[in-house]
Amino acid sequence: MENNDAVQSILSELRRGVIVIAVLSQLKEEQYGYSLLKRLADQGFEMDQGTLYPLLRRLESQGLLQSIWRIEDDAHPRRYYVISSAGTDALVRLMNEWNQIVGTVQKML
Amino acid sequence: MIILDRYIEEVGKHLPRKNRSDIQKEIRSTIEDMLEDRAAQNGRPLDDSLVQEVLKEYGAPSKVAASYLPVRYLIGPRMYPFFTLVLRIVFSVLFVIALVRLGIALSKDTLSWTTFLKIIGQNTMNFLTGILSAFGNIVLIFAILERTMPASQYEMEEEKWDPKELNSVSDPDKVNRVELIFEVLFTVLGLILFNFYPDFPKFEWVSGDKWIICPGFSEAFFQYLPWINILFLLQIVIDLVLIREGIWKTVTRILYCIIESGFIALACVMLVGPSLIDLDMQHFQSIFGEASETIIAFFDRLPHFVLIILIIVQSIDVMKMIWKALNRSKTV
Repeated sequence: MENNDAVQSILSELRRGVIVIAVLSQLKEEQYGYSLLKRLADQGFEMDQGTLYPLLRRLESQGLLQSIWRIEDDAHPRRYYVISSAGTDALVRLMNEWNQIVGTVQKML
Repeated sequence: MIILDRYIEEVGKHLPRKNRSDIQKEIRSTIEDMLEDRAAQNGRPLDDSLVQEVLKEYGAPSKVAASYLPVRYLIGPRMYPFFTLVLRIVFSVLFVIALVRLGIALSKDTLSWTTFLKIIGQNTMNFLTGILSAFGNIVLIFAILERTMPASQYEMEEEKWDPKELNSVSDPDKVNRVELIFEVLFTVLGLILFNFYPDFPKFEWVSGDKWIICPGFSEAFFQYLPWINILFLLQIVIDLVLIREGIWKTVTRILYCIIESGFIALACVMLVGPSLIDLDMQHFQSIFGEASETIIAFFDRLPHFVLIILIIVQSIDVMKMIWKALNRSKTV
């Protein structure tokens, strides 16, 4: 049981490290929070709101995302997020690093 | 949707004022999206039961709010070492003050066991109250500093950091040989004086045309001498063993505690027993007249004061030794 908990903890740390890459990669076009959550889930990257929304705010405060409140098609107000130019640069660097890590780890395994 | 309003309001209570309305707006928007999606997917009406279901899934208000907040410390890692340093200094000062106050309180009269315990109890309570009050104030000051001291100042200090300036690691088991050698010398000196020069503290001098006699030990003191001798000899033996071995072991720690406890017990018995000083009332009255009462009182209370200090210091020593022995057994 203890071992299982430890593995779960390591798995969530592993996922936490790649969440930013996943999120930035899906924001090349505007998305509101819930649509982004579903889009990530549809591609097999499940995450809860409690992780996504604070992350979006953090990335915005770091200048990697931009956001705007908008009402579309008589719906309620939604906050739309999109990657900024700084975010695009960061994503390229993160992807290069990711590919390098994957290559190195695969060699080790 | 009244439940949703209540939920958003409740989340807001746990958020800082600065971003509260924005975060509340975002959470409402997300939940509304979830509700619409869930209603469409399952063909259900958008009623209170669906709202309750979604809110339950979204999480407790405090938990949702916490996910938006950074980790907060009352006293964070950058302040913690200074906080513990200040605590140690203040607690030490308070302890010394309490010790002096206790000494004064106990040296007032000839003590019965009841008065002795009452004074100890009262002073301990005062000391604990002082400690708690000081702790609260220090925590408050550091919590304010934690929130007001700019991070840039700390970052500058971090940049200046030099590994060469790190303190050497202290070995808690290593014996301080110099300290022990002095302890042995003074114990031997005490044994010689008490046994072969029983009148040593007593001396006389001439002031004008009168002889003044400084009082020596009373007969009551010499009743305790066999016990003093046993404890002093045991102390010398354990000190010599420690000097030879160079490190503290569990056995030596236990033996040391037993001997120190013997000293404490003996000091307690001496404290409530008859006066340890041989006072010649008539002599003092003939020399000092009215002032003699103050002088007699001083000599009468002096041993009490010394014994109290001795009991407290030895007790701390024993407690430290037990703590170290327990700590050692945990780490081994």
